[in-house]
Amino acid sequence: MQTLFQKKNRRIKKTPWIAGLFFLLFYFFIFASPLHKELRIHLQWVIDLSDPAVMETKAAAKEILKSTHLFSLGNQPGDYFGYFNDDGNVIFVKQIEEHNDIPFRITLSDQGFIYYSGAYADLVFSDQAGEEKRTYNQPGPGFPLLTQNGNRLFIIKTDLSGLRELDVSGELLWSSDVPSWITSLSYTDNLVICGLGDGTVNLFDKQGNTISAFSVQKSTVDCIYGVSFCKQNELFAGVAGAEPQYLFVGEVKEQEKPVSYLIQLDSDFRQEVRIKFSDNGKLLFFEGERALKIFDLNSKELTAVPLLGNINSFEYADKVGSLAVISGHNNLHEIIILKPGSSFLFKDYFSGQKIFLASDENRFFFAIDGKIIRFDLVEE
Amino acid sequence: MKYRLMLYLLLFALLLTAFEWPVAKVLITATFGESRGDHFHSGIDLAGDDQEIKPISAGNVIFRYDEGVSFSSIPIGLGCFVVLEDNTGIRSLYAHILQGTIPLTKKRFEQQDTIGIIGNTGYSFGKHLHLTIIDHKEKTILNPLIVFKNENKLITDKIPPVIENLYYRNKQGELIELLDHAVLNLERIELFVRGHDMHDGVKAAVAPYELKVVHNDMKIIHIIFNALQFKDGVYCLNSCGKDFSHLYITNESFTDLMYLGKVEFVKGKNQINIMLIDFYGNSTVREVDIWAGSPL
Repeated sequence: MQTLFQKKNRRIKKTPWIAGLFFLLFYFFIFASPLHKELRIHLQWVIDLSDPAVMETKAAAKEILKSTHLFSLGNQPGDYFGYFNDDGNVIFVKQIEEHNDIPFRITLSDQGFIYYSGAYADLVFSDQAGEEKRTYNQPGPGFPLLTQNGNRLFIIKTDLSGLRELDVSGELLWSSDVPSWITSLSYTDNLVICGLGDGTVNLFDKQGNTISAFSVQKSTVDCIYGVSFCKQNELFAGVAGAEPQYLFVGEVKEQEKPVSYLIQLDSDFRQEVRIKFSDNGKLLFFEGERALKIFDLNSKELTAVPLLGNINSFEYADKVGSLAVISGHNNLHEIIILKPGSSFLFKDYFSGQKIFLASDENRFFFAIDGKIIRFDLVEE
Repeated sequence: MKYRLMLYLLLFALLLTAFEWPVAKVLITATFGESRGDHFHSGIDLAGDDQEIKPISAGNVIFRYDEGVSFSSIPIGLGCFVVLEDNTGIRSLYAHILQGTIPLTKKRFEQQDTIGIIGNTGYSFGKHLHLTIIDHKEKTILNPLIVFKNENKLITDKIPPVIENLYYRNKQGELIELLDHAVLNLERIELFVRGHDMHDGVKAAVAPYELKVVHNDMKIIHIIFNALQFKDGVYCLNSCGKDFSHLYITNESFTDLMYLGKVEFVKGKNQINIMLIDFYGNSTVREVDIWAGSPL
């Protein structure tokens, strides 16, 4: 039996000069640029937040509210938060304060932020330039959580026993208690997933109805240590239990048996772990013991990137298929940039306390203590 | 009924288990079941600056969070906290711990080990330890006071609870103070009470342990703040089945007012007895005579 490939070969043998010509035309048409492109790191700019000139730049850039990026260097008094744009202009910067030993807190979104007192008070939403836009009266004490795109506002009860959602005007949309303390939360514009301390997972729809509430796996220790939603589809994942610990992946539409994959892990965390899907929904990244674990959702293959210490932050840029990871031990940190499945593109060490990492297309924004750095990954 | 029986069996089992107070000097500044604006206070608060926190019984770490060190996808009102589980399935949650004092690698705490130092982290207005006790198997949150023995008299309490005010709702929906010998042209009223308790040597007002209301020798309500159970999507008091929104009224004028239920009047004299009892047996009774219709 002949395959198509064999048939083609036979034809090529008959007319080698025509095939060669076609090959050359094809080559120069398709590969107009050199074959072996390499990803290179381009440092774009550095902002020093402690520089007084930054505040002047901020005033000049106040009207530039497009292409802004949020940053937050921690949630402790003295930590910086704010917004900057692609060009390295700071739109807004502030340091977290405290009043009568009660620290202020911050929740940031792409549209603006809520800077609130740790004591019970109304919540004020400000835009990226720090201008107060609206006030939310709270029906009870709770800490706010804005979603990254700013489309949703949740209030988490102070004892973590439930949550509610407010609309833009502050009207209560829904409220729900959960049977144990909330350990982790993830969301899309239509769904919310809560991991709980009793080892169960609760899924809520946009109206706050419980779509599904299920236990993942009986371990010696029942607890959920992290959950994540994929924005591309209705997949979710999480880390459950200890002794042993499991990775679970499931689908929202499978309400009867939502968990479709369960993999035993070698980790034994007792705190929330970082877990996140790539924007294209093909890869799942999560924290391992001194490693970043990568689960390929197509091949179901689990790989690990060994790290210096515990993960501080990681970001995956879909456009260039590259990953930046910061890990550390005490005050020493390591930043690595790699393409999953291949060798490191970049690796360096630095010392510092407050770290932030974000990405947008091929741009990475990396902050350490009072400095923000933009570097781009460019194919050359 | 089934839940109550289970609870009594559980309490009996717990009495046989030795639980130790988590701090050396016990100063209770908030009790189980108090209003927290939108939820029941699910434990007790213990004051006492810079005290070391010990486990109530040896247990494995279930969860820990240390502000500034641990990652969290949500804002944490409990501040730095640790949850342990002992070998009987009882979980103890220690919250508002001083930042940086929780051992971050320990996976088990023996009774003599230190979990951390009392702090003021999270939703907190002064250094204190919040302690919640959960029966993980029965999915029940227990009043911590019922699991501790008081053999060493760590707590002395001879102060009876105080009934501050009684209220009823009039036809316009307003809350009106109900005074003794009141004359009401109503067939029934909705009754509300505000009260508190104090412990010797502690300034903070806390919730009483028990509340009984009797109308003309008929029980209206009997609440014991002993346990919370998660049922039908809400936390309910085990003793009376009431959830937070059906027990507490919180609005701009009234905070932490307890709804006692409806009282159907008989014509003429009606007697309402309200009794508040604290955990150590001190009690206060108030009798209110009300004339339904016009007085003779």
